[in-house]
Amino acid sequence: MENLVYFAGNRGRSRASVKRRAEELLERFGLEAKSGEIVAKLSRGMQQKLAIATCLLADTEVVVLDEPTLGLDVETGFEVRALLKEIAAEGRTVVLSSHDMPVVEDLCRRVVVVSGGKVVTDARVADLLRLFQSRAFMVTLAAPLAPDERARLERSFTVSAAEDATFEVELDRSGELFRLMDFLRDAGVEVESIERTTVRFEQVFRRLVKDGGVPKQPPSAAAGVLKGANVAV
Amino acid sequence: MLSSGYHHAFRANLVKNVIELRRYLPNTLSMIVTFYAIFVFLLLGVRLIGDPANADANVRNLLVANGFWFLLMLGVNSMGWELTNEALRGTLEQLYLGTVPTWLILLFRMIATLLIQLAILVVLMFLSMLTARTWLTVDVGALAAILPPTFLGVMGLAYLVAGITIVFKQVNSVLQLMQFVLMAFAYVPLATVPLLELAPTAKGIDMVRSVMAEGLPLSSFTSADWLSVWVSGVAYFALGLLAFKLFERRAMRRGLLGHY
Repeated sequence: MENLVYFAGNRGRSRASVKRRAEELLERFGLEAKSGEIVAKLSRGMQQKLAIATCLLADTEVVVLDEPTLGLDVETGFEVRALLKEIAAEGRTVVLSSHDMPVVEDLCRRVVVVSGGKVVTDARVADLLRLFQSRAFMVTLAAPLAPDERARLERSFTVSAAEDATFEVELDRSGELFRLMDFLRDAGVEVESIERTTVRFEQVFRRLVKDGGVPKQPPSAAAGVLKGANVAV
Repeated sequence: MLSSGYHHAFRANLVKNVIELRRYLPNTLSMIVTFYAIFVFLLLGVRLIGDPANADANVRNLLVANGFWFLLMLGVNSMGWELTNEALRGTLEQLYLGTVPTWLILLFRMIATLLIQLAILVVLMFLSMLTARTWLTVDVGALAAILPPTFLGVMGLAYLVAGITIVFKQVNSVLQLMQFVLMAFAYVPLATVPLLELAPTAKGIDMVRSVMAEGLPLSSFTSADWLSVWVSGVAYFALGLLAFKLFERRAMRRGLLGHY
């Protein structure tokens, strides 16, 4: 409580004017039982929540957060994510910087990727995921392929990862899937499952940083990505 | 005129200082004991090896100088320590996110520090006078007139130290060195080294020494004395603040406002 009131004071607000709001925030963040505790004695997660509560006490339209989930355990990380979603749902704009790509994928609508001090991309997360969505499939067979069949498969298709009876294959066109099925039928192996691989934002980030930008696509696809980019979480 | 919100900022920082003083009571007590111990050692020095003919005058000067040295050390170094702590805690950026400018928040903290330390100093001075069995002249009116310009110089030095801290962070050695520089300002009378009049706070302390140790009335000071103490105070305050803003800009450009 002392912390919240102090930082509100530095924004020119009196104790009386923020006390009620501070109590509300402590309750909302599950910190009411710790309201008299010294901050240094709080857990890392609680300190992080308090820092966010301090930001919210200012009642600004934009909330800027630097690595809000850094160093948090999994459960507290999810709690903080849920709180940030609530804040965004209230109509505030949350701008956060993070190296935690699952957090970015989960929370952000728009993302600006910076690498080596330069903006690599500025786009909506959903558009980037769509753009990078590979046509990769994870195929699981009932039994491993014979070595010569495996070699033939690798010559005929782009196999990115293979392990015993499982392999990942990238198919350029939808017709390729039929060709793969024909190949496996000819090889006389039973297919247990075939699933499309979902691209994660972490992979998108790595490719963006490694390749230095969005992949080369027909101009209309790239333009489509940037058109929608205007709002952060 | 100050914005109406600024007095809330001042109050918040005053309350913060009082809370920290109470919360870290062992530190506060240790500071008081240190001050008193230093005074007692210096008093013994004056009594045992000093000139017996001037013993009384020397003890009076010692009382004033030691009190001011204490105040200067805490005042000048307080901003630096505050910023170091903020940087360690990772709350330095928070200071920059408010509506009240950071330099003003630091000034409020500084004023709060000086007020609290002044209150502690009054008790310590009384204790010191009791120990020395020597009594100083306490002319409240004269002190109220001399202390404001003197404290302006203290604040200027504090801004300079704070500016260095914000860029270089590890400034313990600077702060340690500073205490000896401040010792010179507090202990050496201008009559001995007239050039010290150009140093920050030295003229004000010398005037306080004249009032408290020599019992001179306020009317004994000339216009030149007042001009000197005010010009020195305002100039060092302005220079210190300017230096802080320059260091601050440099820290921002280099992205040094984050924690360690």
